[in-house]
Amino acid sequence: MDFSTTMEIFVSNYTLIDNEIYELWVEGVSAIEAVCQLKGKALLQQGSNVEMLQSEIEDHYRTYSLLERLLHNPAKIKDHQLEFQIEPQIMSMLIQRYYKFDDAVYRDILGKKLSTRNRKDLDDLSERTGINILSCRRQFDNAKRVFKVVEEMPGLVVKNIIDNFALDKELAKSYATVVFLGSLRFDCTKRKLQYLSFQDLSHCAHAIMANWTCKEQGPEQDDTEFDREFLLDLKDLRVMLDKDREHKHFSLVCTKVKPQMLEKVFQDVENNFKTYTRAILGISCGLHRSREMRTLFIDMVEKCLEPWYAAHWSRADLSIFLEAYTYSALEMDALREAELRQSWERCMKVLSTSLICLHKDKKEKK
Amino acid sequence: MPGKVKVKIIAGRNLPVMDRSADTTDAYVEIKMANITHKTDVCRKSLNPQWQEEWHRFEVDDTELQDEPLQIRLMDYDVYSANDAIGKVYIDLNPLLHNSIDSADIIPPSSTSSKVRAPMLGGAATYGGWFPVYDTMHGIRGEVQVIVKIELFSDTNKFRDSSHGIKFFCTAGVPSGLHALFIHGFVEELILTEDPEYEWLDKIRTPRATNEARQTLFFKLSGEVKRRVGLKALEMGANAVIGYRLRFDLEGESGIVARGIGTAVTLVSQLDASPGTTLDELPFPSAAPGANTGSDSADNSFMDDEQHRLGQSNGSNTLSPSRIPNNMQRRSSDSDLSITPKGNSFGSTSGGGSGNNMRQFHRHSLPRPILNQESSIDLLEYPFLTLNKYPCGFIARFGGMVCARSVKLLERNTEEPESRDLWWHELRMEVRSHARALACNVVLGYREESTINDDVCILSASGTAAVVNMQHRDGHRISCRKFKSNKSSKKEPSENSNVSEENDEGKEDKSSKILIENVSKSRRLKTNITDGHSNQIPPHCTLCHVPYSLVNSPMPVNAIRCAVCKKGKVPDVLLTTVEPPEEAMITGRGCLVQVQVCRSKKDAKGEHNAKEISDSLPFLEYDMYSAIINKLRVKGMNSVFNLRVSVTVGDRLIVGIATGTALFLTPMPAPPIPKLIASKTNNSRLSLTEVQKRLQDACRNNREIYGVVPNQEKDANSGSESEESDEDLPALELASGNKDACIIEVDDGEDMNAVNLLIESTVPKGFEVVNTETIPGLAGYEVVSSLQMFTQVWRARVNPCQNSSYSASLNKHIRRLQQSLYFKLRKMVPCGLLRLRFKVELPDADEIQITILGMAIGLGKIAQPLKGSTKSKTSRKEETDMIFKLDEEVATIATPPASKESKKQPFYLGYTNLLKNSHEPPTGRYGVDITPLNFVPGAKIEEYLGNLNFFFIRESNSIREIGGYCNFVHGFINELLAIVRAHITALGGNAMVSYYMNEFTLLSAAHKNQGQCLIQVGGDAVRVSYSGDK
Repeated sequence: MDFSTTMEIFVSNYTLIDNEIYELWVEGVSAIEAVCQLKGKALLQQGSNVEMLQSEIEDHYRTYSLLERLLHNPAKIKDHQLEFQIEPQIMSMLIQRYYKFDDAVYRDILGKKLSTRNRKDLDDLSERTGINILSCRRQFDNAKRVFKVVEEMPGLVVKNIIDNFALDKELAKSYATVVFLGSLRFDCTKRKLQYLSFQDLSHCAHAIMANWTCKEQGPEQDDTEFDREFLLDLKDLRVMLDKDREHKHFSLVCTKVKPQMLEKVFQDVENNFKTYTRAILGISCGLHRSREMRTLFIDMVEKCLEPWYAAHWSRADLSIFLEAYTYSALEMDALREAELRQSWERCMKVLSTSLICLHKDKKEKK
Repeated sequence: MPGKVKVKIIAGRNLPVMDRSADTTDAYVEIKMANITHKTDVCRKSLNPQWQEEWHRFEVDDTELQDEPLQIRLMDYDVYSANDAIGKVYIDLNPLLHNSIDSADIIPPSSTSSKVRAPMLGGAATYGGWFPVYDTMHGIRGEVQVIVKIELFSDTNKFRDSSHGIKFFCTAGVPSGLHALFIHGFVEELILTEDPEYEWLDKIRTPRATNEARQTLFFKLSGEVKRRVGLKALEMGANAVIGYRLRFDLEGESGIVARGIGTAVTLVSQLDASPGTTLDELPFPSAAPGANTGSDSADNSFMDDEQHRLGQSNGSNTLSPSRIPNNMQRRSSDSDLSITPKGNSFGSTSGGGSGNNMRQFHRHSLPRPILNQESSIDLLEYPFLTLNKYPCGFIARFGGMVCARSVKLLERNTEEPESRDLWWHELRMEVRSHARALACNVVLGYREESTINDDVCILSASGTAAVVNMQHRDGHRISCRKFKSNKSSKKEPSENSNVSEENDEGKEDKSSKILIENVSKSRRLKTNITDGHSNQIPPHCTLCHVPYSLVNSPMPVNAIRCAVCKKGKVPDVLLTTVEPPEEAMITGRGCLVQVQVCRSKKDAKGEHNAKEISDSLPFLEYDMYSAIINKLRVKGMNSVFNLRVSVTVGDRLIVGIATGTALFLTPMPAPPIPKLIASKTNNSRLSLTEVQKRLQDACRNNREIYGVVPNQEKDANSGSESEESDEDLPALELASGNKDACIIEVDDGEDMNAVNLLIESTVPKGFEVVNTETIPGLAGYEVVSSLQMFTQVWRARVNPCQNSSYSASLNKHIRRLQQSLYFKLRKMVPCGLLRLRFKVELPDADEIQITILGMAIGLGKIAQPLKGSTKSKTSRKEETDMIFKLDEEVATIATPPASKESKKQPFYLGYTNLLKNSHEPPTGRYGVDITPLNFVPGAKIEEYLGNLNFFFIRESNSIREIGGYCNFVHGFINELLAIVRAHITALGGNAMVSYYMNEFTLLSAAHKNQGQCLIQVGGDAVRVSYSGDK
């Protein structure tokens, strides 16, 4: 007589969690693969064999798949789910791990509609990046879930994510990027933008959220909504394009920049200032049109960064220039009006930090 | 006594989406108590509805309060179609009934009544909190917040049918913090009813409706059985039932049998017990308080009981203590059923006795020990106690395990509950006569089991025959460790000393004639007898002395002089079904011993099946017992405690599995190493000597590991059996030719297999594995915390093949299961696995299922080793040394991998912290602890909140989508635990002790993608405080 096992389960009163196995599960590694990966490490104890390891891993996998339903609604379960007895700090760890993402995956879905059609495209992504397709799908679904819950919610998006998904602040900020860039449909998919990482764009997104949205306390507060008034105010920056003012601005910048820059780069500033200032002001003035807002990143790259790359500016040069550029303008009468001054500052804060962030030296780029 | 039940539905949360189009739910609640239904308003479009309504009041009859669960059903309101059920919550109101009870209900007003009542006041005042909403087709679907309160009116009517105020405990021992003033005796109840699954209605209703009908029925049955058991206890004058066990036999078309057994006791809190009494004292009352004589209970057996006790209480005053032994002697000499007390005819009243009873009661209500109690226990119809753990000094002698089985054919449609009663009555009588034959006055650790295959049912009753000290008068002077009083032993009846061990297959027993439908009973008695003459008998060892005379011994007996006192006679082997008593003298540590025997059987129907089974049973049992004795020898031990023998019958297989904790009792002789003898034919000498060598190595190893160094063993050469037994032989002359018991004949491969099975694989270092509540003889370590209650379920397809024996492959797989268990718990060492329960089911012709339930507890080193008694000091010392050695090895084994991996992966974050610091008692403990033990390790039980029983059914028509049967069952058990925890919390508790899982049935139809699972669980909800807490 022989037995062929059809079922082997192990259930305990306090839910057992093994970080290593959980990690593999989250990464979408199948139970059988997990056995192969852990085989070497776990079989140190006498009398154990691969079967036991497999049975243990399957127990854990089953537990996690039961947990998964709850992980889709983490804030609720964190405090009062009854189904699993898990210590709060471990529960919190499980949630953070489950919502952890790969930059490559989230870079890919930035600005895309989180539709079923796009979910199917994950196969390509998985092939390209070598990330398990199941993991890609989990990340996609996580993003979609967070997006769905938080999109329409008033208030600060990071706080909303923390409240509803019990995520760490850092993780919540990343999801805020996905939500923000997604809901305002920023174009991040252009070929020319491919060299930018998720973190780069996240940095820009948070700068925008911090400066250009309705951040004031109140019922209107929503940092996924632009401050329309402010954007319209930016149209008035057109005054800076006036020839005299442009020249004044140019000389102010030059005096500031000259001692800090190499001769070669300074030459470039002298020669091309007009191009540069027009590019920057052009972007700023057009922001109230949502189509131009959506193409902000590509505009920054094409209109500003590419000429600078051509002139071999370093990132340090860029930041010197932008600082001088911003503060010189403030010294001019054109921006005497307090409101416009403020708009200029708000606008340049974002553009400067974004441009510096997006500027990659050749080496960094590839 | 009607009561008012007040229910408030507050809110719901995490409800499922019932209205797909709007992604929401319009929930309302139906509250049903008995036949009255209330409804709440509909809370529109919310998955987290808030009702916040007024109290719903129900005026309920007293019996209904006990029988009927409060049913709370969440519904989704639908304008156009029928409203959909979301799920249900069942609330058993019994835990609430203890509170409001008037003392007059239990005990007639007397000076002591308040004292007797005081501890019973414990219990939940309200039952309230978040309850998981459970649906049989979908599992848990959200939660609902409910508060339930009960207002009871006091009722002193003697003729009532309710038994409010009787407290129930699954705990098979005196609940901690309480003190048993009297033990009144065995109480049982049985109800037979139709199974909704087999009603004609089932053909037209949905599976959900059937499942719910069954679940409701199970809750009702559990309440009704409890009420009726309580009624019996009440009439005996008890205020509690301990060691309560509720079983359901699903007999299929012939219905459902609900059986409850327990031990009726009068409990007082330890503080209230007067100085004259102590924990150690567990006297039997000589009579019931007179409150309920002439009750309208229609139960014969109760009337019998009542009559016995009345008769006895009238007569007892005239019996001098010296006469009692004679009385017992007479009984022990015959096992004829006709001599056992039969009750008076049913209709007779006991009016004359009630005055006497009152008098008796007043006498006994004094917490002073009572005279003449022997006669009381002796005259009880069933002198059975369902407890496993007894106070120090309660047990005087162990007789040995007694067991009776019978095979019955279930007949459709014609069965009456009386016939079931009769079946069990027969078995109990047989057990009682076995016990009497061993000159024992009680059966301890009594349990009843049944297994059903098609229409054949095997009923088993087993227990441990023992002599108990009924007049434990010196209680207050007896400390838990020292048993000073030897007076009790003087009363022992027997003059001669001898030991017996019998494997009686029952063929010559007249009670096991093969009848047409109730077939054979086989029985087995393991016994030992002693005399207790000498005043010089040192403490402790008397426990092992044989209690009955050799002259009257019904079986061949093998006795040896007690190794401690050199006076008494002890058996060479002792099998019991109870926990090892604290006062027992132990050498070394205990360990799990288990045998599995598996036999094939013809797939027959009806009577043929019954015959087939009953013919097979004796051989199965013989194989089991001989294997367990031989295994004991290999382990170097001489006794088994908490032995559980279960037999399961399937269509083609009969499986017997016996599990116990092996121990070396110091007074008893060391077992010889089994010796192999080959028949002359066809067996190669070489393999034989090889096996013999392995056997010897295993023996030596076991002795070393468990520290079994018998103190009478002089020569280091362990177990050279000839010398040792030679020395003792003179004493053995009475028992002729039993030396060959240690010789195993090996005739062919099958025998060889059997021998190989004797050598168990070793338990990994850092683990202590037993099936008792504690680890007997554990030195150097102490139990510091409770870690994990676990359930392991294994199911396999049986592929018949010729070349290997059934038992061997079953054994192999159970071994593998155990190893796998150790592997899963490897990160918890040092740890003890306690109270392991193995359950085998044969759900289908070619399927086998094994369920293991157990408790992992954390062990910690004791700073300074315990000072053992002088006698066992040396062995203890060695053992401690050894354990430390063990621990070092564990450390060296465990550290290298840990250091490699720990940087990357901190394993078991929270747990490891808790564990690696050698299991420091947790302070800020979270969650609800569920344990099959009757205590919570590392904590103190503050209050018992009530006994909970649950029976749940889960069904699914989408097994594949869930991820197979594994996920289905895993999820179900998980949900069940969640529900149990929620109910404990709602009662104000934070732990459950004596947790059990009785029924675990999985019916699968893979081709239909269907599965159904039935589980019965329960235990005692308690509130505990952890030692670290303030």
